[in-house]
Amino acid sequence: MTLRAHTRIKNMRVAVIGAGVIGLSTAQSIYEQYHSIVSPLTIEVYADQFTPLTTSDGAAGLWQPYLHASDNIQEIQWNKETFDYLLSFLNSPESIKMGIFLQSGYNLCTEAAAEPSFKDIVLGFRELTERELQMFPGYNHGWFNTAIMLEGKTYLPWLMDWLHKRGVKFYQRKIKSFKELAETGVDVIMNCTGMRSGELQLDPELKPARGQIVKVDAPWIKHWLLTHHMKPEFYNSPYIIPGSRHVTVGGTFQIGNWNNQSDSTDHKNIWEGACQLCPSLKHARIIEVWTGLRPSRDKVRLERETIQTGATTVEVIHNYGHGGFGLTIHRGCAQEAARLFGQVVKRKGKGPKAHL
Amino acid sequence: MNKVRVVVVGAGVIGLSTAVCIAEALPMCSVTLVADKFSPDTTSDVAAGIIFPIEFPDIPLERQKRWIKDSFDHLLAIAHSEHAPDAGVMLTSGCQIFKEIPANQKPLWSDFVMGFRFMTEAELKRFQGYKFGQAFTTIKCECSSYLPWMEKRLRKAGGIVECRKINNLEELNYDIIINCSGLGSKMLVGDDEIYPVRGQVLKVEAPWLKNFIRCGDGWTYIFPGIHSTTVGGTRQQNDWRLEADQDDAKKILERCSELEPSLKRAKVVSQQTGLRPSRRNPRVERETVLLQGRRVPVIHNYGHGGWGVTFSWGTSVDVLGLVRQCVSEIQLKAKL
Repeated sequence: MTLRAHTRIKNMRVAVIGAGVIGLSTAQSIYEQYHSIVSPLTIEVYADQFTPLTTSDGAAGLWQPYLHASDNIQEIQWNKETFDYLLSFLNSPESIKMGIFLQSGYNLCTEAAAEPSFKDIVLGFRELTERELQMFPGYNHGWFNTAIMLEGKTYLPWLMDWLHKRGVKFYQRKIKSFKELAETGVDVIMNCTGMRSGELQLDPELKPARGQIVKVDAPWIKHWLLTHHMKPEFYNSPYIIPGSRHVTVGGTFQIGNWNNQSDSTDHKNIWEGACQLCPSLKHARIIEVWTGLRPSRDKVRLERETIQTGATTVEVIHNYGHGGFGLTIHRGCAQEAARLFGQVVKRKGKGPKAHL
Repeated sequence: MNKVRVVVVGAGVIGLSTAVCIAEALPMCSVTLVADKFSPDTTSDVAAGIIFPIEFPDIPLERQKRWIKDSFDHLLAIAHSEHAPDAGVMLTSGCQIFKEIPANQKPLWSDFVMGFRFMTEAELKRFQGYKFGQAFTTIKCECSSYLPWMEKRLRKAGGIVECRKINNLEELNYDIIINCSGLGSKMLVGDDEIYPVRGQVLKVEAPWLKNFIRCGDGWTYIFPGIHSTTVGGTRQQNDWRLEADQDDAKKILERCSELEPSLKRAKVVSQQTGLRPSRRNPRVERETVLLQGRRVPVIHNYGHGGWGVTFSWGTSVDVLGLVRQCVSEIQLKAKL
């Protein structure tokens, strides 16, 4: 945005709804880009769930876009921005405090497939050799690469601490409507409500994609393993993703299933599939079982909307619908959300009664 | 017919691998393993245990390739089985980096590890001052788990284990003697060609480290393991010191932290020192020795330097072949 350096916008209040990776990183990007331009810039985060109870906390934390999302240029760019951003922290001892580390692994396919969009983004991307495929009967094609891990359970507390140190306030409260916040004088609402965005504004495109996982103690496994059975659903076949402490085993991707309780049949299928893929798992100790609902949508909703709430209008910037790739795409989306916020700031700079 | 009595001297990775190999393959043999030191007090226990071959100068290439292939295949099968955690065997990926481009960019063993390739520019960027690198997947075999697991395997195959120090081959009353005494061969069989190369390592707690990093000169390496990460090291020739050297430790941590800054936040759990039983080439051959008036076949399998785990099963299979020969001769003699 093109504001002259000495122009200071006075007094804006931004409310971020949602404290998963999307909400927190959006707050961060807004602070980074605007705290010296808008003064005072009040940023507030409202959520009913905070880390470690968000969807982001349950995710295994592997940076990887969907294999078949190759046509959405915008999202590919946001994914790349996020990868490069995370990579830049790797040579700092802070990387561990952020929950960032490198891990290599295998993408296994039951049939030949087009190369994924992330082949030039990740490190050392290559096809699997015959010998490697021999380790995984039933899979005859695949790739190996080194990717970044970003663990929600570490990253989210780090983000909250980062924001807290810069004066961002947190409120444990379920927001029932945009109006509720607009009435208190909030200028802009960042809608980062993930799976439950539909409660604030109906969105038929937003659907849950239920994922059940089991976390085990298997420190001898040092590679992630993702299988792709070439059905329309993604992550519906076994995957094994080691974290810094435990290994996350999945996968289910049940579209339309709102059940956030874990299911025995799913558990049995997940476990059997994973043990077949990786026989060394057989005697691993199970730590816990968890279920999360991926906020799935054909594409991410990242756009500005002016909402009339009674006598007032409030600017709402939506940033939700990141499915199973929230951690993967978060920074790119947060930066874009901040740019959209910038549009609001720019208009405000033109005069207090400017219509947007 | 009586069983052919075989004794294996030494309970490091070479001794145990050899004993298991014979006990499982030759039911006509009784196998006794004799050693004064067992895991966790062997040299093998200190090793990170990465399969990472070297090319020995005087051993025919075909034989070395067989050694590497047999070792790798054997351990890969374990890594990919339900026994992996008990045996302490796992797949490990990572890179070897060089400050100057090496003469031999694609060594002999590149065909035996998995997915061998040169590192990309983007991958090398992390390592300031390094111009070339190789990336691949190999196996880590942690002897503190592997040796006890192999001992169980030996007993299951009918082998017997004895804790006893052998100072002279004369003390052994067996049909076939297999010498896997590592550095002990200097005294036991009077081999002046064997010498220690001292290696010090630290074990740190860094569970977020998944890939290994090794410097081409072999002095600096980071090998993430099952319960800890091994960082090292040193290569001090003819240095017999088994105590930890604090200056070495400091330098190891500095060099490793330079490559992997997150190590600065890792807790040091322990320090260990091992003396690599080094020799120009490993001695894997048979000879006949006169002991107490008898001509006894003695098969040697020692001197693997810093490549014991790497060549353990392969050289054991070689020894098995030599044992089969000896057994035939003994059985023939018995008939006469």
